[in-house]
Amino acid sequence: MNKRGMSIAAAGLVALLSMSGAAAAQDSGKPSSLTMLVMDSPSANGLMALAKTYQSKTGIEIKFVTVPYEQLATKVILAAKSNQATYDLAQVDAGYLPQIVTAKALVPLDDFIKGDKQYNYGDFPEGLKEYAKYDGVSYSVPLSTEPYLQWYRTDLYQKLNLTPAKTWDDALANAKALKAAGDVGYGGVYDASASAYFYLSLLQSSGGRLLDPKTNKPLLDTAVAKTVMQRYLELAKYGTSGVESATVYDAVNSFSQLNVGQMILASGWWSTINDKSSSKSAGLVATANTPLSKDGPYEPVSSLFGWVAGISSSSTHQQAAWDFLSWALSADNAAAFIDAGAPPPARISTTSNPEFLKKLPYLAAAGQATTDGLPLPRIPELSQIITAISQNISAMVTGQKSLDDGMAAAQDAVLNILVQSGRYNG
Amino acid sequence: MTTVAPFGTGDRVDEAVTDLSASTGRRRKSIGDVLFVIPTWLFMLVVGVVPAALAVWLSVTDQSLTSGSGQFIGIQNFVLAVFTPRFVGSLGVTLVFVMLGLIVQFVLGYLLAAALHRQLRGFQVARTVLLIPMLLTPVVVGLVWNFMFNPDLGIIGAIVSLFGVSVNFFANASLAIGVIVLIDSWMFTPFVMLMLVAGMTGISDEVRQAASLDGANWWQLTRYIVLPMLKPVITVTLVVRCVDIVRLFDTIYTTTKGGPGTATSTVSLISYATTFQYYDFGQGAAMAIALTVLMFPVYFLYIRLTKV
Amino acid sequence: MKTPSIFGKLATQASLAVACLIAIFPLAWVFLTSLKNTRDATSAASEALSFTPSAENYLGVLSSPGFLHAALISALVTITSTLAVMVIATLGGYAFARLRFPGRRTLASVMVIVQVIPVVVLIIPLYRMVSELGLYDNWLAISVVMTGLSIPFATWLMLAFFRSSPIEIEEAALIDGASRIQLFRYVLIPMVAPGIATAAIFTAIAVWNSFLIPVVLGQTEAQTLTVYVAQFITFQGIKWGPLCAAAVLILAPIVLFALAMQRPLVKGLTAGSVK
Repeated sequence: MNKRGMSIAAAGLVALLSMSGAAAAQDSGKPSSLTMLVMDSPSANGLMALAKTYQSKTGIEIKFVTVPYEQLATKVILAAKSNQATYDLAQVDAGYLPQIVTAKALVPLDDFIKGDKQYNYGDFPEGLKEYAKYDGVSYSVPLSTEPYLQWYRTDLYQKLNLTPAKTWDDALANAKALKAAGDVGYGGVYDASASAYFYLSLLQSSGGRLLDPKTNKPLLDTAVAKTVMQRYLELAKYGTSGVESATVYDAVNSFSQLNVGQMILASGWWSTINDKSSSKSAGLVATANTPLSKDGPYEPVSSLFGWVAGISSSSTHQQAAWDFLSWALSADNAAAFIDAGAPPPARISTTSNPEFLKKLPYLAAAGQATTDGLPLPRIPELSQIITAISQNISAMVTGQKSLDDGMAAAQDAVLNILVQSGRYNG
Repeated sequence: MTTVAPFGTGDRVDEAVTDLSASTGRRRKSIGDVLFVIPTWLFMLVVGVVPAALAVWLSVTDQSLTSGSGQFIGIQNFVLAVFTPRFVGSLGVTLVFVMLGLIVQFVLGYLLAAALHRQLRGFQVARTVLLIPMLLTPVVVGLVWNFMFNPDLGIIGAIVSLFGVSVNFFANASLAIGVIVLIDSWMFTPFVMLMLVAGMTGISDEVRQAASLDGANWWQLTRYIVLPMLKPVITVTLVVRCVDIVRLFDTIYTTTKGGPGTATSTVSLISYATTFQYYDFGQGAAMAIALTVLMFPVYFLYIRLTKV
Repeated sequence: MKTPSIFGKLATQASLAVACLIAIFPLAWVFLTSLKNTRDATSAASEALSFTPSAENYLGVLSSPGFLHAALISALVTITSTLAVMVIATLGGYAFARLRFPGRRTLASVMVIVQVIPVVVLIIPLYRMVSELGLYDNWLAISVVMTGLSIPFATWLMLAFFRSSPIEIEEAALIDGASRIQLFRYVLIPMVAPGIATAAIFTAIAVWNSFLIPVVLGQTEAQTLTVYVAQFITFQGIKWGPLCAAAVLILAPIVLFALAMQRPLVKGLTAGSVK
């Protein structure tokens, strides 16, 4: 064999060996570095700060790969289908856990969690434990806990003698008062891609649900669903001039730059809205629990959102990856997240810590929301359902469809999706 | 006298392949000529044929997340994804974009090309400046225009409010479509203009002057002399732009995301959502393939025009 | 001698000027924003000009190793793709224009399909192919894919240029005994130089600004500038300042390249009509 042939054969041999090595050992000893996929977010910043300390403690470097939000779940899922281990850890949106787990991209963590004193699983409220699970198995651990809260401008409320709404009727009244005074009454989200998240959180807080918990039948044809939609469309009348196409970013932007009196938003935006260098509303903002109204048969609850973190099923350093997670997300390190402006995982010890409560006033509400709150249905079809409902919300708010037509179309679309996937049997 | 125009005049393009072997009298094995296109074939196979074949395979399987290698399910994906009001609706939206986009870009492109062609003072500067919209990253372009149209914070919103009205361009289906057409035209009218200018350079001045001596005005000149001579350029440019507008994605995704309602949801948008948000590879592939098949008339037109 | 036109000289100049303004306007906005800090960048348009300019965004972007690495990768991918496309498309265009080779219809159909097929449908199979070969996150893989996708359009361009160049010169050269290489070097390439320049510009622009392929096929080692810029679209909102700074920096090389290509482009285009 000539030289060239030899080197090709050698390369092939090495490739074969490394591939088989990867398949055989889930743990090939102590690594020098771990790779984590993250989204540019305060939570990622918290992790990066902690990683530095971790490196000086253990010598293991954590390399962070920043992925745009839209590509994050895609990268995680695609990596599961390749035979190259491209990352060890990932920050994911819990709403995508169904797809990610079905693609077998993350490792079940129950065995790692059990008996891990440093991680102290018992310090988490039940609701939060459930949040990181799919199908009863913990495929991830909570990274940030972000319930939807009621946000309001303390200066505007003081001026107009308003108090944070306890029910949705209060909220509507506040909105009217604010608009009459020349401010913006409600900063809602009504775009064609994500408005459903907000509508559904309103629905949950008014005693309604998206799906029947027993049969998975979509409940958009019920009276409470229609009442809440009517209410949501009504609130749009008190919005900014761009409210009919407002995305989450538009809503946050407006809240930071204009005089928007109140809005519902995830707690995690706290650091952005209070950033003096970019927000005109910094320091003038406070949070409260979402308004609750009993318009439907179910318990009115707040809605849980937030990031979770998981370990890649193709990682060859799973134990080492867990060690980092367990340390970084332990109660002692909650301060690091708070300092980075990130919502820490809502451990019981964290949300009742008076020092933390001083820095992040919304922690109390966050703690309560995880006890009382519910995430949206954890099913793979959720992103499709969100799009279908959002498109109809957008059509209704811009006058292309009437309330009845829009609700009927949304119900139809969701029915179709669930029947097609087999989750609901007609 | 021959003109070395980039696309030739009408009758040169109608010629069949000029075969060198005949005119030089040398017999050349046509097999050896294949060597010239071997690299092309290689790339087409690797980047085109193989992935496309895989995609066709994906479209007849139920490859999503719930099944490993995907089982053959025949045309079920097509039934579920393509023969639906959603897909047909998106086809309609795509068609609207193509029609509007082509009209705007061609009328503007032609006028600009005619203006540049006169080569008045400073035309080189104009030509360079007018290139710039094509050079910016499409994602950034979409974001910037999206912000400019923001009713509260954008400059266009501010200008409009000077007239006492407050218009949310993204809240009205027709206006939203208009915005997308505007952004796409802003980016690619320069392309049309460039191609047309190149074509116009090939039309000799004598022909124009002869016609005007005969008493033709501008419109007659354009209609009976210039446009016919530009036919090959125009048709190639039309087809290329048509294909690109059908594939348009970044602009819509960074602005309306398919809204309001589904007013700007094109096939490429829903195909992307199906593949990358719902992770249903089979259905996403089925949609894209259906679109490709529907575009067959366009390809055949293209091949006939370039007289391969 | 005057040829009739619809407008006088003044109107023509004016309309061109307006067109230029419209073309430049968003770029001006981007440039202005690149000099603002985040708070000013997202403020209302009425306050667009009341800010203190600072170079902090540019400094931040230029000093980030991610940016420099991405610039290198974008340059590598664009240069290799453009060069490859130039060579392959010129050979291919010549073949389509002058030679009768077997399978020309088939190849033409394949090329048109590749040009027309939505990239979305190719991207998943391409990802699988790339990762099976262990070439994930490798700039060469991205370059190969971009080259393949750009070949069809460039080939048609070259075909058109070859078609409209006078065949008599080629025939004369061949009769004089020139070899194929000499034919290309001394006759063909100078003749179709504007075509090569045009195809080079369009290919370079398309590859430099491509997003979907690099973002799926790359991660860290093979991150292009367009993917790098996308990170400023964060979950918390868009970091307009750094985004615009990066956008301006990304624009600069491609503008320079386009300018550089203008002269050979123009030379050839106008040379022919003056006889």
